[in-house]
Amino acid sequence: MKMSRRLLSLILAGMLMTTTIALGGCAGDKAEGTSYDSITIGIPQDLEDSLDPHIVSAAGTKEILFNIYEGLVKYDAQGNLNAAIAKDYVISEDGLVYTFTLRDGVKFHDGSTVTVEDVIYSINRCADTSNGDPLVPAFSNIASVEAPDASNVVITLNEPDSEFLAYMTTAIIPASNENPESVAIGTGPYKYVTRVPQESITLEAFDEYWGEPAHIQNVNLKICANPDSIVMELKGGSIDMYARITDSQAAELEGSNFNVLEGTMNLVQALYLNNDVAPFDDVRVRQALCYAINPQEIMDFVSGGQGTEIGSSMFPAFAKYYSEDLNHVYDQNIERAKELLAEAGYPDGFAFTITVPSNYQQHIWTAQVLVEELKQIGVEATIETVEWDSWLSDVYVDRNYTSTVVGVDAPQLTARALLERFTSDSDKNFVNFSSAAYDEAFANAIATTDDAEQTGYYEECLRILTDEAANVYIQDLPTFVAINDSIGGYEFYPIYVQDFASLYYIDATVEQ
Amino acid sequence: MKVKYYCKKFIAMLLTLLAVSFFVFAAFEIIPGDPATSILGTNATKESVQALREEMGLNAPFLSRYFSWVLSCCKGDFGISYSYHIPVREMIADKLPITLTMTVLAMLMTMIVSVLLGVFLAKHTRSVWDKCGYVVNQIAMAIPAFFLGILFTYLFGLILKWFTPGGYISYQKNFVGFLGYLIMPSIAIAIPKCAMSVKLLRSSILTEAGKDYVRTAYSRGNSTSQVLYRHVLKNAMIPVITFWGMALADMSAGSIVVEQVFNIPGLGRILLSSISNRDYPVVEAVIVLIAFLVVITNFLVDLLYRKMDHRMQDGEDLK
Repeated sequence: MKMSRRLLSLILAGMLMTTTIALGGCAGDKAEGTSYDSITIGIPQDLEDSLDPHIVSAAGTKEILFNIYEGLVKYDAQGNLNAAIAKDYVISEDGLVYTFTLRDGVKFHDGSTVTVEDVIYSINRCADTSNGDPLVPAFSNIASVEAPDASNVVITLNEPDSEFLAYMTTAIIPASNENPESVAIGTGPYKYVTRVPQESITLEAFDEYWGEPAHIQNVNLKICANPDSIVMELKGGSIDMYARITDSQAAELEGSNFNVLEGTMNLVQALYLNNDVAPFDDVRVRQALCYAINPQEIMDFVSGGQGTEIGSSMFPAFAKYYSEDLNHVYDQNIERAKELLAEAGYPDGFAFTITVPSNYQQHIWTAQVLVEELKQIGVEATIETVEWDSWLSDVYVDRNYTSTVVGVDAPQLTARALLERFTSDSDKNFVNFSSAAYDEAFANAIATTDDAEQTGYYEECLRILTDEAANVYIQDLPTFVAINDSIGGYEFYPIYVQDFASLYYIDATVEQ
Repeated sequence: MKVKYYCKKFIAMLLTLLAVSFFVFAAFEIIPGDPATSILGTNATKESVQALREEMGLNAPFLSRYFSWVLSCCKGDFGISYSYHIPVREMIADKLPITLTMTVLAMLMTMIVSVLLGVFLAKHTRSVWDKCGYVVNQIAMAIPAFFLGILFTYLFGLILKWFTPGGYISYQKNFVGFLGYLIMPSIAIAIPKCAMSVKLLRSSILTEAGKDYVRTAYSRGNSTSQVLYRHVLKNAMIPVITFWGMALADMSAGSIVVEQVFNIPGLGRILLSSISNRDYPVVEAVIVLIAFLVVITNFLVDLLYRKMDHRMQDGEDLK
């Protein structure tokens, strides 16, 4: 298949621009006098929404706050839930009563000790329904939160929920903090020190951390608003690490003093279709689109052949639910696609718009390849790029769109976090997917306490999403982390977080 | 008479600022997206957006919101940033020195270099210097500042390594280092403006030189440089100063783009990020501030005129 010349030349021009700015191959020796107790990490945007862990919604903010706040339990890099502020927990036989025993003497960053009142305050704050839905939707299931003594918290549920524990990662914050949106006080390995808007954020290792302390004392987060200058800043030595570079930027760093680590973004990238809008209200049209595209081609183009194909709303890090079989339900078949279109009454194809948020280059590139691929079945797609904010209000909240390319992530490592949004009456069902069979399978999955049974229901949900072609599923994008080769310990998590506490200077450990 | 003139100027200034702030307010009414959606992100649902809008007072009628904003501004309260939850005044007080320093540096460079070069070229008309100067000038005028910025970063930053690209140093930490980092961006801003004022000054001197009073001055036995510096230059500077006034205003606004190229977290960065976050209080304050800078510069230029050209009467507006 041929890419359009305009598209190619556009991308070439873009690459040329970046290389012109970025090349020059300066060795970027680390400035003299750099000590082992500080690291400067580039981040793409400031923490602009809030520092309040319960309110925050931007993935880029959450991944930083992971270092500052902790819940009763906490994920490790393997995706296991480990005890954190709670040292232990017991779940009753019927799955309704959770008893958490607090670890002794866990300190908040302001020096006060975590009490059961703080835990109850934090959970109640997220379960509060006075402003509509609770901050953590799964908390609507909580019947009561009580503290029988000074070290135990008992949470009673209305219905058993085998995934409830994952939501206990919800941050515990001190009840005494009146301005959590600007004063960040948690219990994590790093404490928030200060910030200069649009410039930097300073974190410092927390001396009284209950667990293994962070290796590097000071973490400076530098806001690198201009994505074209990241390679330059890395090579110039003004930042030591940048977590999400593109594969072309990774290629530019070859031969420099940076290691490039590859992981996955853990999100579901798809051409999301508004199932309520013609012609996508016809399942045959949606299926035709699935048959017309080839995810491998998109991956070759967008991420240098990296990335993992997906066939439903599940990414590979969820080994339990992810099934490669679903990737092959719609292997590229142009003839079949044309037949389906003809059956649906569009023998000559049709035209539609793909709305893409302008701040995500990978999604824009993906849409560009999609446009070319869809031409083969006579479908004319036009790309409309919009600001992220307009996307949120028009596409996500008002659902006033035809199709969009974005990546959807899971805030918790639960199938529910990914699949609940496709139930017919979900507030977050921005694709207006509606299937009685799906709703039933999902309700069954939530209701059951048997793990195998639940997995079966979730697999059924995934199968329905694929068969009904709810969306045109594409890939889980790869992510590349550039890190100065004097620093080790970076770990990829199956959720969208950055763990700074595990980073260390290789030389510093040798000396010790 | 003088008092009346200043009153008039002051009222005109206030009206300009009011009009600007009103347009910004109105623009945000029209464009899609609102701060509540921005804050809630993918947690946004119709209900939660409504609840937050109510809480933030965004559901009040447009005009009442605008007037309450104007009122609190009069009291010196620009509100609290939606994104950072700190007073907007603090935020701007932090960022203004960065943009202002850059603008002032660029302006100083423009003024010094353009007077020297302009006079030199006017003195040597039709020489090789003049011809070369003409070509270089045309090129310098045509290149936009941001492109010069990219060029400088590549040439001086990566090849010659005179400075670290993106290595901005905060002025609170190290003022000398801060100034050092701002030199390149300031030069990038200054060059196009400088080229324009050189051209203007040269032709203005040549025009003045052909006037009668110059012949009179010569006939009274003055030397060429005496005529040039005592008489011609003084008059020739008037149009150049008008241009500088406009250039200064243009620079403070134009530095927004150059800030992006050099990764400088000044007013421009704040403005751009708060527009995309729909952080109204910050956007309003920054734009009104820029408008204020423009208006006040024009006012100062007006005053300067009066000093330079005694034919100008108080109360007379120069266009």
